Amino acid sequence: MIGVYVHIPFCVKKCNYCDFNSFDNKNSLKQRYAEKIIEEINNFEGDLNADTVFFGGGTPTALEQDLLQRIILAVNNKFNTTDCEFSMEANPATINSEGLLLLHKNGVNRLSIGLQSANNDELKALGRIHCFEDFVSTYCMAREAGFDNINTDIMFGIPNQTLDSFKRTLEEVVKLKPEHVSCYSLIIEQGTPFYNMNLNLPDEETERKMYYYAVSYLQQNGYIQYEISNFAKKSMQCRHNIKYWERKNYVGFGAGASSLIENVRYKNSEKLIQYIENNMPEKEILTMSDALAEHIFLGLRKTDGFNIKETERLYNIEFYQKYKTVIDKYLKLNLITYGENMALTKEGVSVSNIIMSDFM
Amino acid sequence: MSDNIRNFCIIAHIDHGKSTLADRLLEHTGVLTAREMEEQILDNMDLERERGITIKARAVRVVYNARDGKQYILNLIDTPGHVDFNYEVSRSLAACEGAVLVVDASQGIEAQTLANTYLAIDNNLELVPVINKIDLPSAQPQVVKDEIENVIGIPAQDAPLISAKQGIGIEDVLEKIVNDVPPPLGDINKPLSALIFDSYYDAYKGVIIYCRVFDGQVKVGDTIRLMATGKEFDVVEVGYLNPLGMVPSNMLSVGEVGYIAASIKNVSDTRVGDTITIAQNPAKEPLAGYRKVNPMVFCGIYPADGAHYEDLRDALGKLQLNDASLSFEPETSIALGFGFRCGFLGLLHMEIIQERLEREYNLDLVTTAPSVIYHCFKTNGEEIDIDNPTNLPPAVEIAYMEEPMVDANIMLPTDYVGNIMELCQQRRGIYKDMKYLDSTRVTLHYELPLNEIIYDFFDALKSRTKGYASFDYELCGYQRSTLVKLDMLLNGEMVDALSLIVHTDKAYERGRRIAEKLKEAIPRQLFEIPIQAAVGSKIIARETVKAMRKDVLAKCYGGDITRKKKLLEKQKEGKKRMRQVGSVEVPQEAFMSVLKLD
Repeated sequence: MIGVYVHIPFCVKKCNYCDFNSFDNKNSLKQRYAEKIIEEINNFEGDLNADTVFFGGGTPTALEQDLLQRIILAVNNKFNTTDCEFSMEANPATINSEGLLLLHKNGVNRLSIGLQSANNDELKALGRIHCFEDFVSTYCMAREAGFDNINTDIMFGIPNQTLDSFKRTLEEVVKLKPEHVSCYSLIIEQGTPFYNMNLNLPDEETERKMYYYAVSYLQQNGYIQYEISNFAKKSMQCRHNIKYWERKNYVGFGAGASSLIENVRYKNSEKLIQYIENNMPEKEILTMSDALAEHIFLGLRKTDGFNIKETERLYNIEFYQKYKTVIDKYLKLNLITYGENMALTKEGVSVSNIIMSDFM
Repeated sequence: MSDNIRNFCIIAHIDHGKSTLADRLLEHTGVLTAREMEEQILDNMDLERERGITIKARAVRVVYNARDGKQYILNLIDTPGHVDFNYEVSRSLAACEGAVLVVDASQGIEAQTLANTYLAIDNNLELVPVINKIDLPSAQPQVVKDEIENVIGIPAQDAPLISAKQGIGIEDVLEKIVNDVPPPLGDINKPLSALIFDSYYDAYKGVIIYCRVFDGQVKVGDTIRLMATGKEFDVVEVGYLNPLGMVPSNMLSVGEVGYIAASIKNVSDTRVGDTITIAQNPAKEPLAGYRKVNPMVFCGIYPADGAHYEDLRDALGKLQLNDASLSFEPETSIALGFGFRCGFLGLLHMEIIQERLEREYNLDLVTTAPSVIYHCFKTNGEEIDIDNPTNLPPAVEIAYMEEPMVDANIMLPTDYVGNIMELCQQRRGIYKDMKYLDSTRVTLHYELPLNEIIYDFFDALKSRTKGYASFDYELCGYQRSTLVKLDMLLNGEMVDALSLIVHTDKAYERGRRIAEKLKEAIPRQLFEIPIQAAVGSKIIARETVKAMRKDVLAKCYGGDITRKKKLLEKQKEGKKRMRQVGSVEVPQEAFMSVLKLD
C-alpha cells in the first residue's frame, strides 16, 4: 500500500508566517502546473494500491475547480483508491457549495480546513484572507456536502494572542465538533514577512500554557492526542500523516514534493518553472543508520512513541544497549517513558529536539 | 677573506616594508630568477604571509657586484618585527655587524622601530637608515629624516630614499650596506667559535644549525662540541642558504653565516645562543650568548576532543623544536580534562602558536584566559610563583602578592592623547612622561600591570586611535598589589578553566562582564542555569540562562522530514562542540568569549 501526496503550491494570498513552497503571484502557471502534475502522476511506476491520498499546499482549493478535478481524476485513474482516506486542504472562502459537492463526488472524503484562530484580529495579524464567520460557513457547507471527516487547523502563539482568546478559539472549534484538530505553535521563520516585523508575541510561559490547555481541553472533549500536534476523535486519526511518522511508503507529486519508497527518498525540484520544464528529483538512499534516526525522531512525535521490539527487529540492534546513556539520562529527568514503547512525557515534548538529536 | 663579507639584518615596524625590501635585495643581486621570485620569499610560513609578519628568523646569502668593482658576500638575516619576538631579534642581531633600519616615509618612527633600534644599538650594530615608500603621495622624507636624527640620534640626511614596492633606490641600499657596515672581525687561526642563532629539525638530516662563525673555521668531518651541553657530533654537511634552500660548501670560515648538519637527533642539544667549537682544539671561552627571555604570558591549551591529547602534545613538541621560547607542561582541568599550560613571550606569540596548532596540525582547541606569573607570599613564609589561577592558595594563607609590571611606550597622533591616557588610567597605568616627536605625534610612557594588557589592550588601543597608535613594552619588575581570584560558577559548580586573577578594584566589573558574556555564549538547556561570579565565598555578579522550554510544536510533513533531520543533526553537531561541566553543557566558544571583554 502506498500514500499519495499532491502538492498544490498556489494561494489567494500568502500568509505572513508561511514558509511553505507556495505562491500568490504565479497564477499564470496554474494551467501548465496542473498539466505537469497530471503527467507526473500518469508516468508513475510502482505500487498503485493507495490507501491514503492527501492534497496539500498552498491551498489546493485556490486552483480553479476544473484543474483541481482533473488532477483528482488523474489520481483516481492511476491508483486504486477504493476505501482510501482522501484528504484535501481547503481554506475558508476559497470554495463554494458546488465545489465541495464535486470534491465529495470525486472521492474526497476528508477535508482539512485552515482556521488558525476564531479571533478576527488575530486572523488579520496572520495575514489570513478570511474571518471566523467565513470558516463557519465553509465548515457548514462541507457538512451539507456530505463530509463526515473534517480537520480544523488552529494555531497558538499568534501576535497579540492571549490565553483567554486562545481558549475561546478552542471552545468555538469544539462547538462545531470536527473529527480532528491540529494544533500548532506559530514559528517565525526566516524569509517570511513576520521575520522582519516587530511582533508582540505571547511569551514562552503563556505559549506553553496555551499548549497544555489545548491538550487537556481537547482531551476533556473526547479528542485523543496521538501526536505532538494532532488530536482526533476515536479512530479518526489522519492515516496519511501517520504514514510519515511510521516511515511507510509514500509518493509525492508536484513541486518540492517528497517521496519515500523502501528507504529511498526523492524530492522534486522546488521551483515551479523548474518543476514544470525540467523536474530533476533529488534522490537520497538512506543508510540503515539514517533510517533508524528517522524512525526514532518520527516515532517520538507520536504520543505512544514507538515499539522497542519492533525497532530491534527492523534495525537488528539491541536498543537499550545502543542508547543506554541517553535513555538513562532522560529517564532520570522524567522526559521519556521506556517500557514496551519509548515515548516522550509531557515535559519531554517541550524539549523534544534535544532529546531527538541525542538519538541521532 | 672576510673583508668582502657583510652580515646585516633589516629592522622595521610592522608594515613598513621590511619583507618587500628583502625581496628586492635578493632580486637585485640576481639570486632569484623572475620565475623563482615569489612575493616575500623569506616568509615561508603561510601564517607569516597572511599576517605580513616574520615570525622566525632566516638567513640568506647573496653575492653583490658593487660599484667599486669588487664582489661582496651579503648575508641577510631576517628578523621578526613584533615586540613579542624581541628574543628572536636579539638572536639575529648577535650574528650581524649592521642593521638596515627601514622607516615608512609617511608614518615615521613607530614603537617597534624604536624598540628594535635600541636592541641593535645594544648589540653595537652599525645602523643604515632607509626611507621607504617614497612613492606614496603622503610621503614626507625630509620630516622622517629629521625625526630619525631627533628621536634616534643617528645621522640620516643621506639615507637612501627608496620604494621597495616599485624597486626604486635598491642599489643605493646595497651600496650603503657595503660601505657603511663593517666587515666581520675575527681570526681564522684561532679555534672555532660559532654562534648558534637558530636551529630546526629536518626529517632527513637531523637538526640543522644556523650559525655565524666568529673565529676559525668548520668543515665536513670535523668533530664539533657544543659548549653549553658539552655534546660532540661529527659534521656531515656545511653550507649556506640561498632563498630557495641549502647549498652545501666545503667549509664555513671566519665571518660567514651558514648551516651545519651533524646527525643531531635532539634540537634540545643545540641551544640557540650556544657556541660551537672543535672538539680537538676548543675555544677557551664561549661567545657571549644573549639574554634568554622567559615566557611572560600563560594559558591552558586543551584539545577540543580529549582523544587528541597525544596529538596536541606531539604538535607542541614539534613547534617547540623551532621555537625555544614556547614552553608547555601537562595540566589537568576539571572542566576541560587533560591539556597543557603553555608559556608565551606575549599575546601575539600566543595567538600565533594557537593558530599554527589549528592550521598546521589540524587541532581543534579550547584555550583558557591568559595569565601572567604572580608572586604569592604566604603567611607561612613560603613564596610561590602562580601561572595558573587554579593554583592560587586560599586567601587566608596569602600574606600578600606581587604582579609583573611593564614599561610601555605608546606612540600616537596628538589628537588621541586624551583617549589613550584614559585607557591607560582604566588599566591601572602609572603615568611616567610624554614626549613630543614632532608637532603631531607623541610618545606616552606608562607603567602598566602586565595583566591589564594581555587581554585586549592592543585591540582597545587600535580602536581608540583608528589604528594609528603603536605600542611596545618591556617587563620592568614586580610590584605589590591587591589581587584576588575571581571564580565563575555554573549551576553552583566552579569552573576551574574560567578562573582569573584580577585586581580587587576590577573584580566586580570583570565578573559582571564575564557573566554576561557567558550568558550569551551558553545555550539554554533543559534546566535553568545560574551563572555566578565569586570572589572567595562572596557572589559578586549573577546572570541566569533560562531553561529551554520552547521547542516549536510544528507540522512535520513528509517533505519536512529531511529538513527536520538536518535541524536535529545540526543540533547534534553543536552538542559535539560542547564541554560537559558538571551538569551543564558549555560550548567551546564560551571559554574563549571571556577573553575579549571590550
